[in-house]
Amino acid sequence: MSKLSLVGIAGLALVAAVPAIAADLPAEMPVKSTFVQRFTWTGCYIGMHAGGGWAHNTVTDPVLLVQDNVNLGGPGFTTVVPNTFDVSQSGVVVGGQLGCDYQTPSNFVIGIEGAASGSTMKGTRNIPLPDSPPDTALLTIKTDFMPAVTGRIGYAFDTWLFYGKGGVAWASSKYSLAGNFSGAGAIVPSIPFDFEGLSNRVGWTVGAGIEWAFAPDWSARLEYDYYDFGTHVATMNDVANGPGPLSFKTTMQMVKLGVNFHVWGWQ
Amino acid sequence: MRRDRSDRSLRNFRFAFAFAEIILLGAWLTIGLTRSALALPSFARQTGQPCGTCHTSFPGLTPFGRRFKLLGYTTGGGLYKTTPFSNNAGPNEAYASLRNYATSVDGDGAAGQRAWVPPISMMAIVGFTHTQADLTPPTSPYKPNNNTVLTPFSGFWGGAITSNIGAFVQVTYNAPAPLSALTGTPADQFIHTWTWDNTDFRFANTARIGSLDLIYGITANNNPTVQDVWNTTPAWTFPFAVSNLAATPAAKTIIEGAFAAHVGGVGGYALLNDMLYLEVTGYQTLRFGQQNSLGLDPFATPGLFSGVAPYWRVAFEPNWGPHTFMVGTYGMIFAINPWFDSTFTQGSTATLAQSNRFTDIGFDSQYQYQGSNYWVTLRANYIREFQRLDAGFATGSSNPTDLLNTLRLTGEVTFGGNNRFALSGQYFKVWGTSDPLLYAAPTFANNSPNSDGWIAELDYIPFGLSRAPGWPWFNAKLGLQYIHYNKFNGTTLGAQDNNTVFLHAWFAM
Repeated sequence: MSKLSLVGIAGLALVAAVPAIAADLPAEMPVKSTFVQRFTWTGCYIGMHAGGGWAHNTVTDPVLLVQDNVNLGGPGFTTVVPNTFDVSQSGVVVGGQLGCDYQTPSNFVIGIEGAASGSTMKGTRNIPLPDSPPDTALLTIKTDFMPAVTGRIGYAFDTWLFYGKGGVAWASSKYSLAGNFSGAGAIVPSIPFDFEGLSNRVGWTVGAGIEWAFAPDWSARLEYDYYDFGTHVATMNDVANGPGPLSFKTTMQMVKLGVNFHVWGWQ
Repeated sequence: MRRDRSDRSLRNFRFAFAFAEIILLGAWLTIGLTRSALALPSFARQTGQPCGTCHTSFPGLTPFGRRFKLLGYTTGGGLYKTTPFSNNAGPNEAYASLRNYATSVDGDGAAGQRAWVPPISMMAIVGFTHTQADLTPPTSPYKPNNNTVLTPFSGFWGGAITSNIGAFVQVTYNAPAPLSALTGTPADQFIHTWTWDNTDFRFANTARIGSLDLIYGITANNNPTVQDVWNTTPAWTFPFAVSNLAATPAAKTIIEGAFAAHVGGVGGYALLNDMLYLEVTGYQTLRFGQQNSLGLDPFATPGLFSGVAPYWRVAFEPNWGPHTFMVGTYGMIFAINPWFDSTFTQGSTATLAQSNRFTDIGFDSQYQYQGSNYWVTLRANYIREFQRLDAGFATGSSNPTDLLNTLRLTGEVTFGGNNRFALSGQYFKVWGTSDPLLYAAPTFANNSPNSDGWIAELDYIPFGLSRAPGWPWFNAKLGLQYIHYNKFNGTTLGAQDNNTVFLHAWFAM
């Protein structure tokens, strides 16, 4: 006998037995869904993620910052302006997220999420000081913290969710421009400089991902996010030589693998 | 002159030890005459309860919260299975007392039915800071005043690992200080934003010895007093949240966090008849490289310990009806070898061969009253630090010995469903010996470490009610804090410039 036939006979037997069973049941059955029932993404979740991040910075004008400093080359020392350099960053991203979703009867899912990531994203570039050869300045950019608040919309195929997201993001970065200035050999010994800067930047983010509910309370997801933080002018301060401006135009990308624990949903 | 100071120090030590002996003797006599059933009235709640069961105004602890911590963060009773392991029954008798009470109060009865969930949490504080005077320039990346900053942000492991072993482990992001805080020396490279934070691993169990009920355990932690269960001692004292931008008094005793997270310590503790708490723990500083790897700036501390630094704690906590009273003492002896090159200009991480010796002795007391729908908590803490500056004398300090004292007197009233509202106030004072080198300008005025002032705070916990929306996954606290200084770093002149309004939202997930 085929398995299908067995299922059919069992089904008939259940139908036939319903009145007898129903007579023994309490007036209201306890509602406790199981994973074999249709999954719903309605509910809230808390989780963690890890992945990789890459950033691209366009920096203007580190040469001017150093060479025209009053204690180094002095105003007007730089002969060609502006000087723009690209600096790439890369590193590991680890963080957590908290969000809530609502699944419509037509299986669309809308939600809101707050997330925060720590990062080791770092990039360096050695920048020549053209009016003071062979001096160079080492530019270092580190980004260590990125919170975001996003909305997401997606479509659910039972335990699978395909979604896009977008919202506001912040990034906390630290900048350093350090080296020695010799005035093309005119200053002996050369003057050390170390300009330090900080920024808390606001930008926008969009992304897309796929999430799979692999257990009654758990889901895993793979997500790509793009960030644009626009252009920011940071104050770079050297305790010995004084402050100056440096402009950063920054975009970022991240690929994150996450896991979420779902609460208050189908319980 | 030096002889006079030495005699005075000796008298102070004798007084302190005599006081401790009296407390110990009195406590021993009392607990010996107390029936064990009365000694466990605070085993009255269990996890699976609302936040207000363990906390008055979090992280301030109730009597139940203190027992939960002493039992190694392992007490179960909630909806989810407590640990991934089930081969060890744990301190069953103590747990049974808690569960019986919780069943009678909350009637959940569904303990441990669902699968184990890792006890991982997150915390974020978003705060608006206004100081009476603007910040010292350059203030980048902040405005000169009226800044809103997300800091700190923390991730936690908080809970049971096995039935007898639990942990509280915190990793924290702290937003950077303004640019003006950088020194411009090579040592700035060791300033980090991500760091390991308060950490406390515990093994706990219970036993009965004659007529004595006993909770005993081992603690391995990284911050002297982080393991303490009264919110009088430095690691968990009020104010629980402060602005990262407002200046605070620069002089503190060493035990008030100078080596928080820069050390590792292992110790043993015992609570006898739910009344007398005893603990001894030894600490050693982490190596320079270890500190740096964990996100700590080694040069932010006075140096490295010479040998093991002992910490002791004695607290006597009788309780009757809704009243709980504690009187105790604690302290630590530090022998610290100062950094040889604290600016890292020479690239050295070495320390001087000679050490400075700091002996911190604290006396604290707490009274807690549980009303029908409110708590009243009064806390007092006094620390006296004896400084023998063998390594710093003539270079870092003008005196061979100095004294430094801190005092905090705190009152807290929480009321509403599960402590929905909290009103707290504190008077604080720091005072000590004048020392031209140790307390030099521009940080200090008049060669004095003295500061004093007041703190007032109003907190609202919107989801504090039992089974409130979000429970047990999310909670929040909205706080409005005002700090007023009468004297700041040795002077009343301009002290009020540091007065601070800190409006903050504290999220726990």
